[in-house]
Order: sequence, then C-alpha cells, then structure tokens
Amino acid sequence: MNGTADVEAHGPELEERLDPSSAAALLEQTRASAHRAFQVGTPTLALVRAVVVLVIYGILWISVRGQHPYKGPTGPALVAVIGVLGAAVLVTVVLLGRSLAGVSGRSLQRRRAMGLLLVAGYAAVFMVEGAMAHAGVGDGTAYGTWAASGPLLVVGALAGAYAAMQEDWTLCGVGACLMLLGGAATFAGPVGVWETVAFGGFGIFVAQAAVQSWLNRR
Amino acid sequence: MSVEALDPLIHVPARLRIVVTLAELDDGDALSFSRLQEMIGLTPGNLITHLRKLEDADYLATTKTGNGGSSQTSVALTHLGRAALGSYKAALTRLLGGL
Repeated sequence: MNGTADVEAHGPELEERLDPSSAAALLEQTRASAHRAFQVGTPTLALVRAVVVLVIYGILWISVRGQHPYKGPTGPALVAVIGVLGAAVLVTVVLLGRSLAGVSGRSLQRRRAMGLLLVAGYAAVFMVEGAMAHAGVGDGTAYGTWAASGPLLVVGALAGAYAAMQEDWTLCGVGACLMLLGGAATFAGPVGVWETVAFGGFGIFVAQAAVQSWLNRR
Repeated sequence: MSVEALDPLIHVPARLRIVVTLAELDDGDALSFSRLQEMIGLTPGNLITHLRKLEDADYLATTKTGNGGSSQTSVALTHLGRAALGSYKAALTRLLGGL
C-alpha cells in the first residue's frame, strides 16, 4: 500500500475489542481531534483576521483623518497596508497548509475556485472605483465610502454563500455581518467609514473566534 | 441488544479511529497515508493491515499517485464506509441507551 513495511503486530492486540461506553468515548474523542486537525476556519485564523482588519482599516483611517478636502488614503498608508496584507496572506497560507496537509480531493478544488472568485471580486471593486473617479464622482465616494465598503460586500457575499453550501453557519453569519457592516458603514461618510469598518470588522472576527472556540469545546 | 450488533470491522480501536478520522473529511476528499499515520499513531505495518481489512469490505478506497520515491498513497472513505459508520453510531447509541 505504501512502501514495503511489514505488519508488525498480529493477532489479538490488533483486533482488541472495546466495551460500548469506551467505544463511544473513543469515537467522540477521535471525531473532535480530527475536526480540530482538519479545521480550516480556526479561532486563531479568525483572530488573525480581526487584527488584520483593525490594523489595515485603522492605518487607512488615520491617513485620511483631517483631510480637507477629502483625497483618499495616502501613498505611505497604502504601502503599509500592502505590507500587512502580505504578512496576513503568509500567516493564512501557513495555518491552512497545516490543516490541509495530506488532504486532496474536491474540497481543494472548491477552495481554489473560491480564491479565484475573491480575486475577481476585489478586481471588480477597484474597477468600479476607477470608473467612479473617471466619471467625476467625488473622491469621498470613490476613494472613501466605496473603497472601504466595496471589499466587505464582495467578501461577505462570497464567504456567506460558500459557507451556506458547506453548512458552516458560523462563517455564514460572519458573511452576513460583513455585508451589513459594509452597507451600514457608508452612513459614516468618507472618513468615518474606515473607522467604522476597522472596529466593526474587528468585533465580527473576534466574535467568530469566540463562537468557534466554544463550538470546539462542546 | 448486544455488542454483537456492532460492526466487527469498525468495532476495533484502531479501525474505529481510522474510519472516524476519514469521516471528518469532506465527501470526495482523501487523506495521505503519512498524515493518517501521524494522526492515528500506528506503525506503517499495522496501519496497512487495518486499511486492507477496511478496503476489502469496500469501506475505503486507496489511490496511489506518482512513481518510485515520489509516490503517495491516499485513503478515502467510500459511501459504503460512511454508511457503515452511521449504522455503527446508531447501534452504539441504541446499545448505550439500553444499558
């Protein structure tokens, strides 16, 4: 089957039976352990997302605070955001790689498709932003409210739909909350939208981590 | 109802752990032999023996990809294996409820 290893145990020890209550305990212990080992949406990953949203949107909020007239996030702020995003992607890849090591099959294809859809979604948000600027829509809308809330609408819709198909109701709730946050934050205006999303997104992902931890302990 | 009602192929600690671990994967997914071994903690020889028994009963399927040193064996639970685990759980629940 794999290599040429010989069978190292024969007989009774290989066929040791369990009493029903020990079997039930072993079954539940193994299920919980395997669930944690394969879990993609770990509480740690949710906390990483919480910090990333807070830092990225916080940096952008600080960079636009006090702008009169509003011009949008500054160059240095965007460079810092790219750096944080890069680090976040690296941490995510490492954590996912640990969970999904040795796993192959259809779920991997679904995750790849999801990744491509996310990239397409982000590209669409930036295209709309460019089109808004080109059409003469004010900087406050193109580089403020839309730039801050657009990604949340895309991520929330995609994550929520994917989670619904997987019957992952925690992530489904996160998707719905992100979309609602994206919509509601636009009322805060071009400067306030960044602050609202920073703290709102942080709260949503911390709540996700708490729910996942609680579910894992059950 | 007695312990005899429990599927003897699954009602062995090592095989119970193998089947339950593989059942935690999404339907249609497979796990490499090496990761399964790491998770179950059996020697390669013992793991192969248990996997063969489960494979003979069509509870799981193994796939080998690549050649020579780069070859990898993946193990996946079949629909029959998932159904057998479901029946095992139901029988276990009934048995414990009746105690």
